[in-house]
Amino acid sequence: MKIVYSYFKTFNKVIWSEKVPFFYTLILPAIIFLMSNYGNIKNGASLNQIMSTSSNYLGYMIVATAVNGVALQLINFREIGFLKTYTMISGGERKYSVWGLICSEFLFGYVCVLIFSACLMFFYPTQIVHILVVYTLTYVISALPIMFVSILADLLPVRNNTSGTLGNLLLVVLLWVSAVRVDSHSLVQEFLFGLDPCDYVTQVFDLVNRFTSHAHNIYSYQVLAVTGIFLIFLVLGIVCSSRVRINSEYMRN
Amino acid sequence: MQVKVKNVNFSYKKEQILADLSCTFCSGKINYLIGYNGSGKTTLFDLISGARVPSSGTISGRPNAKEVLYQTQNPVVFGALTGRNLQEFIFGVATGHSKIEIDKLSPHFCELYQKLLERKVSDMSVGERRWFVLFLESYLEKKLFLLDEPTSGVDPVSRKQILTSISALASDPQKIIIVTTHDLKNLDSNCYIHLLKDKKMTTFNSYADFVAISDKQEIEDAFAILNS
Repeated sequence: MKIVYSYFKTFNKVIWSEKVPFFYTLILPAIIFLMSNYGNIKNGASLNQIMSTSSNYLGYMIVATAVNGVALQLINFREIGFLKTYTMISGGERKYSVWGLICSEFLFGYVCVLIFSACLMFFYPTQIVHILVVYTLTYVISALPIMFVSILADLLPVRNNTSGTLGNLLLVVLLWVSAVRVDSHSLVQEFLFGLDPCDYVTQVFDLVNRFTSHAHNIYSYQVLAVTGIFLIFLVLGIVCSSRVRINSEYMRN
Repeated sequence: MQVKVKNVNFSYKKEQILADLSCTFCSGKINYLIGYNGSGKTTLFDLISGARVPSSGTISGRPNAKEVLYQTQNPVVFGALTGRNLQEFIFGVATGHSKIEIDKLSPHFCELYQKLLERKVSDMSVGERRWFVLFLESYLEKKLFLLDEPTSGVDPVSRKQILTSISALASDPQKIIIVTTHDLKNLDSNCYIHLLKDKKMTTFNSYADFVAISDKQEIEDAFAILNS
């Protein structure tokens, strides 16, 4: 744990020294969200309505952090020789640097989500606690498995210079699929859609929101789908974290 | 202490890099691993460290993974960190390290170390960065040090500092130091030289043995003769 904590501390120093990730992870989606919903908020739309529309934005923020902060960063670390050197320094254990990276990106993502939720808190100040609980629970339940499963990107035979383009193109596709599809009321279909990480976030958000609002229509198929995906993503990621490749595939280092 | 490589074969996809290679690396002196670009030096490092597995053959005598340090050609460090942050990072992620006793350092290294502690990594020169990383790594509790071209691209002053640090490491009989280099003119005279050529290794037990190949007693001439 001490070694993981050291990676976490250092990666945090590096992450917080850069400003650009904040722009595309937080500021851009927050601006678009506010511009799209300001009229509805001013017209007295309920918090529930507005929060429902925010779930896709939350999905984007979490998956963008996982793609850019974990998946692409791991590929970069592999290609530049970081994983090779520091795996040996850490006694041959590959998972320590990976877990440290995930922890630091988890914190970064949570801060972004908190600030995003503050936009809603500003307009609905009497429901701050509800907003905070929903966003925090959604984040913890969805971000953790998504960040772990993004380790699988290390298995892909992609070059460092193309992985960024491919990763962010994929993000757009995943977001679009999540945004346009309708509720299927079917465990199998919800499970399959949930393999899209953006859709998984919206499913978790919907469940958490209903649960914290004491709604009566919490469907068992939703709970089962979310639980299944949570376990699959997490287990896959944890297993792969000890098996990340440390040798560059395209540039001998 | 010895690391024995015996009849090792390795290929990248369909290209054979090492063929039935055998050699022994010993403690007590620096082991220089030299050869043409692309001869397989880094690949041999990958095999010795365990980062890759040979297709056949054995590597014995190497310490367990916790006691191996593998410094790649371009040390990866984060520019946003200061030297002090970097020290905390390397010591923090290592499985063990000894304390840096500043009063035991030479006045020159003491001054250099303290200067770099407060400086951002991005503001250090390439040579200062390499020296600082190697200096910190020398305090890690490792028995096998694989240093891939540690003086590549550094200025003469930094090179001397780095080589001095490596010589100090190699004097410890409990440690094996293997260094790849193309900088033949600055080899420590107290060394083993392992020449990797045509997928095989030839070992010279001393600098003098290697240089004796050349009528002019010049190391680069000896290298050229052996590779011709």
